[in-house]
Amino acid sequence: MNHETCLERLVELAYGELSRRDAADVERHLAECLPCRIERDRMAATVGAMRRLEAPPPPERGDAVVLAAARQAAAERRRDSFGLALRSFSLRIAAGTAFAVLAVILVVNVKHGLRPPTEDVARERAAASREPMPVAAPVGREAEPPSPAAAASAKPEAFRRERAKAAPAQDAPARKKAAMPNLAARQAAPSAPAPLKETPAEERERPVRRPAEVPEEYQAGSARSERAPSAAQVPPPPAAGAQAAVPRADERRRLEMAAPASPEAAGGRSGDRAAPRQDGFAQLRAASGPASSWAREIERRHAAGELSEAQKRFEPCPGGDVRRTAWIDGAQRILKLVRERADGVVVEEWFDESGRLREALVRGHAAGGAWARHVTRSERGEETAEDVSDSGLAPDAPPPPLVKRDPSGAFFSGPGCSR
Amino acid sequence: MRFLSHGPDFVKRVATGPSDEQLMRRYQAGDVGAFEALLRRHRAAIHAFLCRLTGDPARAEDLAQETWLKVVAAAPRWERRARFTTWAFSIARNIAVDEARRAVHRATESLDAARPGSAPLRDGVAADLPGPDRGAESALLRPKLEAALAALPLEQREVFVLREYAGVPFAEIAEITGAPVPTVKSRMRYALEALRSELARLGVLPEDAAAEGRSALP
Repeated sequence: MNHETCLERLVELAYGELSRRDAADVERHLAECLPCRIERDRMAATVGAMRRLEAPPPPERGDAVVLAAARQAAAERRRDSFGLALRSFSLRIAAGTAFAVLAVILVVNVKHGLRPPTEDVARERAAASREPMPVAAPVGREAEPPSPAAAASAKPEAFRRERAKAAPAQDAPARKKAAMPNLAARQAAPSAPAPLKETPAEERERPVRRPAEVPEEYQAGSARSERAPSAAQVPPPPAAGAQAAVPRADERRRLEMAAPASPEAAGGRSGDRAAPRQDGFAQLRAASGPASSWAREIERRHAAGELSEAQKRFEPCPGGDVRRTAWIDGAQRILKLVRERADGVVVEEWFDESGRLREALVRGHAAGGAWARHVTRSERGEETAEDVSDSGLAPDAPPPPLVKRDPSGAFFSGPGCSR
Repeated sequence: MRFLSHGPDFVKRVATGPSDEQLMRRYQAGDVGAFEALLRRHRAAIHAFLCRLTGDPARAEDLAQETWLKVVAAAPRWERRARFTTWAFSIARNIAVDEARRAVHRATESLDAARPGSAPLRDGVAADLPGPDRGAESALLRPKLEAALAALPLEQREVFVLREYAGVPFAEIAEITGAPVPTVKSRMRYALEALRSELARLGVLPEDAAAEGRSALP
């Protein structure tokens, strides 16, 4: 080791930053070299002198300020991290809520068939061109039950597809006959009087019941059942000649309160142009309130908010519905179906949990005034119809056939326009 | 192996206590007590470093507080790889260097603003230096040592103070100052030679005594 190398390493040796081997090399050179030893002693003397320069003790007063700043910074970091976590959490909650709402809306739409009216109208118009009277069933006999697949399926799209497949296979004349069963019945009844439009004016002014002009099920007191309906199922039949049986005042109030979503009320809310006339219907409703235990229970559940509602609207067309309202229970069963037709006839139908018709109220306006028919249907399918209007009028045109079963299929079918 | 003992500011950390880096991580997690421990542990060294570097205890006090406030502000950005002392001394050194540059600018302006007919302030500053025959020995020695240290160029002074008083290894001084390690060692050597010359000039070290490795001090 030469002098230059030794002098360069003296500083490192002084502060102990040389490796053991290098330090030994420097020490060996120092032992042999006087100038290097003198330089080492000078360095030690200088450092020894400078170490007598003591630094003043640090003041304590600055620590409080620094510690306060440290606490504040730590608190801000905690707030920031909490705020960030909270924002992230809030964002997740909002996204989850939005997703849940969308999922609920989607499920309700799928199960209840709720779609924008314009979309429904467009679809039903297309469907109507293929099937003239989807809901129609021959009067006096039960409507043809839907195919098992359609009946089992509660989904509207599946039902539509099933019906679309079945429609082309049907015979066109048969479908036409099925669409106008009342006309066929009238033509087949020679003893039936002429239609109302051919009746002299003086006769039309007088309220006269014309049982032969209307389907059998709409004729008051024409129970086809061999067994008399029980008092619990059917109100007392009206006296001959006939004014409808008028319930007591307290019974009227009860019935009015039990049916808040009546078609009249719905028509009044919506202002639908095809809604039936409102005059006299309140009294008619009171007089013809649902008499069966099924209907009363359904009305009670609806008044209690246990049933949800679904509606479909259609463009008015001859013989077709303009609006359908379904009351749906928690099991997605339609318990009541209200069909408002373009001609002003309103059909209210109550169904049991298996989807069979148990009671119906059909109302409309003839030339002489309002008419109403109340139909009850036993578990065996035995029907009893009665006039529940004060006028005793019969409908001018054959009223629409009742939906005997599968209210879901009827609700989702086309408007049923006649061509 | 070493022929110099540790510097006066060097405090050997007890191995059983938490390391500076552990305390810093705890403070990053919100433990203010950990930061207080760091402050207690290093406040004297930081203050002494700044005091020797600037030669002004009052200024050093302000700079030390500014250093710790910057440590607080920069704590979230502290990387766990960096040694805390290296990082803290870097902050203190940068603050002191910036302040020294501002002080030079202010001194230049004040000196240039002196009236032409009056005695220059530079002479007055020199005249205020304590002479060798003033006061007791300790009072006599301290200004000389301070003057010798202040006479060093800043880059040599910071290396000498960090190595001698703060006990920072040359490698870490290189990190703090941003200079290569060989340059740091060279600066240390130059600083020692300059101090020896200055102390000899001020009468602290006799030339012969210094040459023989003996101090003129008792």
